[in-house]
Amino acid sequence: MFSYTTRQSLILRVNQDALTVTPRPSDTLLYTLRQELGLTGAKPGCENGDCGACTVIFDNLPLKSCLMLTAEAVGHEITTVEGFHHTALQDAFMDHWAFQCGYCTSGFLTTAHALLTRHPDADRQTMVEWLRSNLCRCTGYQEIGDAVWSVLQAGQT
Amino acid sequence: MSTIGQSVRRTEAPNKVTGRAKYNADTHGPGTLWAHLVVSSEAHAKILRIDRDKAMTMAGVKAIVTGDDVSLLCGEVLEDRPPLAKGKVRYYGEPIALVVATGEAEAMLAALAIQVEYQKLPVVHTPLEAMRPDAPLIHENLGHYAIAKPPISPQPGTNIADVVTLRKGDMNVGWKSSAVSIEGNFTLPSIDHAAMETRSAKVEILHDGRVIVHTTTQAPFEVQKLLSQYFGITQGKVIVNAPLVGGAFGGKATVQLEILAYLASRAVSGRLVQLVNSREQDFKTSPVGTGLQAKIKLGATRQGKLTVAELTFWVDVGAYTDSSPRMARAITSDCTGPYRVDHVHCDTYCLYTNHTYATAYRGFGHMPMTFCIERAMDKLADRLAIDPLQLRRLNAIQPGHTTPTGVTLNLSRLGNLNACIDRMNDLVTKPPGQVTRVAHRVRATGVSCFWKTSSSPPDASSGAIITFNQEGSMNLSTGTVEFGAGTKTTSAQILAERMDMSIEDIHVHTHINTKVDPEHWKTVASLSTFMVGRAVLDAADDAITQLKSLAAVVLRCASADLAVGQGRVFIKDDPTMNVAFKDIVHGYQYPEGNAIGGQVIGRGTYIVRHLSPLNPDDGQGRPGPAWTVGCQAVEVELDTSDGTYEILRAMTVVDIGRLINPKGALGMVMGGMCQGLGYGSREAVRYDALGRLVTDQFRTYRTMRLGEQPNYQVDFVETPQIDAPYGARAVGEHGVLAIPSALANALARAAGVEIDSLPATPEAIWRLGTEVQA
Amino acid sequence: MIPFSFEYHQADSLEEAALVYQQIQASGQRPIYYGGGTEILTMARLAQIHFDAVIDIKQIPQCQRLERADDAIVFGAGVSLDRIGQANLWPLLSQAGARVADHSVRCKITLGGNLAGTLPYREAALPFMLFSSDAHGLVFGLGGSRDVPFKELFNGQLNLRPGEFLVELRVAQFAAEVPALSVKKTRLDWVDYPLFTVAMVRANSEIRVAFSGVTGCPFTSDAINRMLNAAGSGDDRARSAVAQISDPVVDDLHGSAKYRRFLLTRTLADMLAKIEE
Repeated sequence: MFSYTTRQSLILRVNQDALTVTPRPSDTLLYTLRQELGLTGAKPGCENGDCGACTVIFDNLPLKSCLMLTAEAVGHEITTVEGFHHTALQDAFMDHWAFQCGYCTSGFLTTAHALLTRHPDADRQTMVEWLRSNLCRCTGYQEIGDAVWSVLQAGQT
Repeated sequence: MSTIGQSVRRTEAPNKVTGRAKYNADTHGPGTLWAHLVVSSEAHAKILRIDRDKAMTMAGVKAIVTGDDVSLLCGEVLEDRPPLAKGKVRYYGEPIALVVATGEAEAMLAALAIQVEYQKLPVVHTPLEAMRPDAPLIHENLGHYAIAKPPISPQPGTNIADVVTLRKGDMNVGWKSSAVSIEGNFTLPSIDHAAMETRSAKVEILHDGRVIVHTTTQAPFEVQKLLSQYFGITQGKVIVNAPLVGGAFGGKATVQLEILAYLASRAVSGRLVQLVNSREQDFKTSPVGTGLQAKIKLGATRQGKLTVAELTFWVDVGAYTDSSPRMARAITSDCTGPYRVDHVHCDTYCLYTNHTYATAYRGFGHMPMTFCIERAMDKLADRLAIDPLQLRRLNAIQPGHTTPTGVTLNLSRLGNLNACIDRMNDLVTKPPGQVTRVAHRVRATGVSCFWKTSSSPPDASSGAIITFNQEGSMNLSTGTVEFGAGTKTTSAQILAERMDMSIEDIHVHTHINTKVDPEHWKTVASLSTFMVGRAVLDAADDAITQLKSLAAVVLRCASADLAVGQGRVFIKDDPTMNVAFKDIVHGYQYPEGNAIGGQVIGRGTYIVRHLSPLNPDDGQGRPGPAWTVGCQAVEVELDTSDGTYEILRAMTVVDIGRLINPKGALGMVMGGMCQGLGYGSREAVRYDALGRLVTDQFRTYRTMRLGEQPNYQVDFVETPQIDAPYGARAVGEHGVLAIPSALANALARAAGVEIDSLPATPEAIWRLGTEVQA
Repeated sequence: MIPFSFEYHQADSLEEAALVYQQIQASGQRPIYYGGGTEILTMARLAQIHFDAVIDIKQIPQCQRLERADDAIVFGAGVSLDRIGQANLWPLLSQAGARVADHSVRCKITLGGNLAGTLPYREAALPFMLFSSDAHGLVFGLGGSRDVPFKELFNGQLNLRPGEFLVELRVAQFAAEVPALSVKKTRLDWVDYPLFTVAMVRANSEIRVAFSGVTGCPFTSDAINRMLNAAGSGDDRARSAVAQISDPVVDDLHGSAKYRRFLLTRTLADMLAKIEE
């Protein structure tokens, strides 16, 4: 059994690095990523699992880091938006103007990236089902859908 | 190559797709204290007791501030709002106490331990309820509040915070020349800005008296001014930093958390304190976008020419006025919609209720106002049996006409609404009056027009400073905040165009610091491209003059012989004779070592001209430099058996003056349309029978999600606004304005019911349908 | 952030989980079992619940089972709704689960969590309620494991004894082979709390339904099933079925009771038409 009962050190695998953190057992992964690791790409938009701005990739799945305790992440591979470097998806978001204020962007990118990894053959319906886990208040959503779809299609041809 | 008309990427785009873009709550240092608010659990109540004894003894607690510790009333127009409730609470979620502690958890736990005892008072739920002579009084001291910025006409002894009166023409003549009339009564709920980033503020008071503020704001210079004024600090010692903002929509143009964070810091000897709204508090404690009730009466000739409009708006300002009196004037200024009406009578009341107080929301009151007018226009079209788009075409305001406030329009000031309507006529493919029916599925299109001017202060000003790097590239500093509208990119494009340089060589200063960056009034009212653009052009011209004058010496010619471009100053008739920016921007050095000139620093300013406040008697005056006009449409397919519907298409044609960044403009318009569809179909701030806000999470305050958006069609008409940079008109807010009414018009037509309140949920349509059947 | 502190224990075995629960309780503290944690964490942030320790059971191998075994299908309580949908061993359960929250959240919500939560919907229970004679749950507590018929285990909410937790649910294989439908209706949005969710099956030419969101908690009713199997048009049967609902129908922010009744009638009629095709 793994018991984490008081603030001690834990090792997290984030963006392929093994990083030491010392959260309270009741700290969410979102809190630890931001406050301890300075990975502020994950945003608190609601801390309620509703908006998706804090989404990270957790063993290939998009998970809302506000709905997870830091201790639950031990032994798993976490990717945040800071783990992406010059990906086609990032370019597509810029080219399609898939953001305005940019606050939701990390969450959309992580969700979409997980989709591309897990379902490179995704159809539009699957794409929509994954992406509607996230909220954006600035765009008309079409820009975001087009950006992700363009990368899916490029991979499918 | 010209950069105007090019969809150049946002200047801050790379940082936004890598998580490197820093927003206010992303940066904090060790040692920062945390503040947490205790907020009211009642909508209207006397505060009998606040028990902070237990909380004070809790771990990490440094200070607890309540209304008793603060003697201050705030408000940008009328000073009616204590930053922390004093004596009574006027809305659910109102700040009551502020806990400052060593950590976020400590502050939250102590806040939970504070007990507040209330004596409930009767609650005022709606503006019309607030109007009743026997309505409970929300502000007993209305007659004693200081007026910070006139005009405002509070009516002591009532809940009327302000009345705006507009009189144009002669109503008798108007009614006499009309053959038909319609009347509509409308009720629209408050909307929440629901920006993805919640509001937050950090304040530190240094020992030398400087106050350092970091905040989520559209108005850093207003924050500076108000903190200086409220706390008696010289302005130069209040330094406000505004990093990237995660969505604003007007909701961050108000000053609230900054004052609280200042009070928190002051209570702990000026230590750095951070105050961050939870999503719940962002919904219930910070201000919302206004709702209103209205009665609209229109008269027209048999042929459909509007002759008269009698309009009353009852604006729900909530518990405090904030910017509502200015918004009431904005609503009144454009109260007829973009139509020629010679005889107009409009009364706009600002009414206190026990709702969350209201502030600016994208469109500054024009979205609900437009809803009422445009629903009324459809009622008139039905009465006259005229196609709704034709009715609008027939009445569309044109150059030579006067606005309700008496401004005579010309093409530059107004743009071309007829062209927008004609283009829309092509887009909708079939007359919006017709519906298509297959069994109980009905397709219909609703149309609406909009117009809006800035309703900004007559002395709003803007500045720009250009400095050069030694290599010849430029740094541009302006006072606008980047919250997603792309103002930084647009101003870079304007500068690149004027200097005939690559946009790559323009470096914009993104994080505003009031100590360094020149003031821009507020990043609101869609005015940034216009005002900042003008200041940037002015600064560019100033830099060009300096560049030419030094180059004239180097090249041994008159300044008048020179032009700039591609990072060089060259002789017009022989560009091979030139000097590179890099050789002159930090002074020119002769081969033997002597130097002349010095750093080139371009400075530019702009102040709006010829604006005047509305006359208190008849509302006449000039509210803004120019208008933006447009036409919008929504096509729906409704299942008449249960009220469910799909939004198939949403269309906008807007006269944008000149497209500076096509994808940027398209995005702003589509984003606005999406918000408008949200307000039309699902969004509403809602309260229970006790006046408690019940929509304090995204689970209950519903905004659109991906997959629910329609097919967007956006088209631009380009009628230059002559005094604007490259002719570009304001467009930041406008995508939202007439979409809720276009949606309601479509649904009303499809369902055969009158949709005069929002949101138009399937249940609401179903209920109206059953009422019609009964 | 979550203001208060608590301990985190990740159990490797059923016995370990039950033991640590007992130990914590014996020391005067309040433990709770933890699956996906989505509801626990959101309520904890708002200080709406209080506890001293969470015992994470989702990774215990028995809670992770998702397979056919003999003539049954086994669903571990720690399996996420997303995985249940992906494996699709029981399409009706996949369908009912696929409309809970949103996709990213479903990657975290577990079957056990959906049933044990305080939110009244518990949509994942509906399919099991329709086969309650052929469905069982395995629960574990200090006294060891108990195999409980679903009917006893769940009557709108999970009936567990103190210190017990759900390990898995089993349903007879044939349940996955009969015509079945699950329909969720919302106020407007795809991702939203339901106005209601209805699951319907036709087994041995008999129709059965289970509801969530209509009244306080999920329910089935013999009287309603009888109405749906009576003679008459789909519309008539749907109408008399809804008329049988005697408990107060939910009247909330998402929809009025009147609209819920209306829409439920229509939905039932549509579902009857589809399942009887």
